[in-house]
Amino acid sequence: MTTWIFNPFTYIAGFKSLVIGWMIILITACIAYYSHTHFDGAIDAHVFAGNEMYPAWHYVAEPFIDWSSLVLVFFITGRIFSVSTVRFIDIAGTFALARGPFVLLALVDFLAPQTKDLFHISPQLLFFVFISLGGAIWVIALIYNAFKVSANIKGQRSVWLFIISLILAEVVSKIILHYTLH
Amino acid sequence: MKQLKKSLPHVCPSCQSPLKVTSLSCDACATVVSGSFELPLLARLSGEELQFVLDFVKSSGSLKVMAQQLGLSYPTVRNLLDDIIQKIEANERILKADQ
Repeated sequence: MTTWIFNPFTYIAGFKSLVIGWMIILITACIAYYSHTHFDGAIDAHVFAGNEMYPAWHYVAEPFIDWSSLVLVFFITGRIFSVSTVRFIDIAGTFALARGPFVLLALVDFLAPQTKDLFHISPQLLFFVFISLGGAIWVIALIYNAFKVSANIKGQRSVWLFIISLILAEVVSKIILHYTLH
Repeated sequence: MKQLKKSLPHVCPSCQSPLKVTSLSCDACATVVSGSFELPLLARLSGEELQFVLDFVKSSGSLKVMAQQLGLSYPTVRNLLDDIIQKIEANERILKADQ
């Protein structure tokens, strides 16, 4: 069961996981439109409390740009550092499926309380924070395992390459989002 | 009574050096052949790894077929194969160093 939650890529990868992952991304985008959740970075999820409405396609484009940035950076890392043959479809598929917990985060954002300062911490805010933190950890664990399975890189090397690649992907996604959507 | 499943040891339990075969016997006539023979490379793999190699050969070397049979994803099966290849290459290096 733990494997299915944190490393489903042991069983599902390639085209199958790409299709499931894309469907999840689209569902997430639909929910995010109504809960005003923006995925404005490779692993970012922010809820905007303002009344400003962005066009619907923004909510679809954001997660796809995030996913593309991750796939691009981690595919290059895998091809350079792995002794195995890294297939693009495996990186693309597993990284799409790894975005699954963002559905939960987009849903939880409906409960996001309006908080102006940290002196007004309500039980609702604490619940929101814990669920969001748990979701973020889950996404990072899934992305790490997606990288490990797709690129066959193990040990300490995989941890360092993962951290550096994740930061690079975050920077790449921010740049693309800045010049395309914002 | 539960039957004990024995596995072929290939490293010395005392110093971790590779073991050699020094005698072989015939169950039918009790003939014993003595000498010093190298263990084949495949015999140095664990039971699970050897089973993987056998399944791989039986599936005509198709990782896709293997993945379907084992209920695992393609990259997981490819990683298992790559790990075995690395182990075989490491054993080859040890054998060359011994000669």
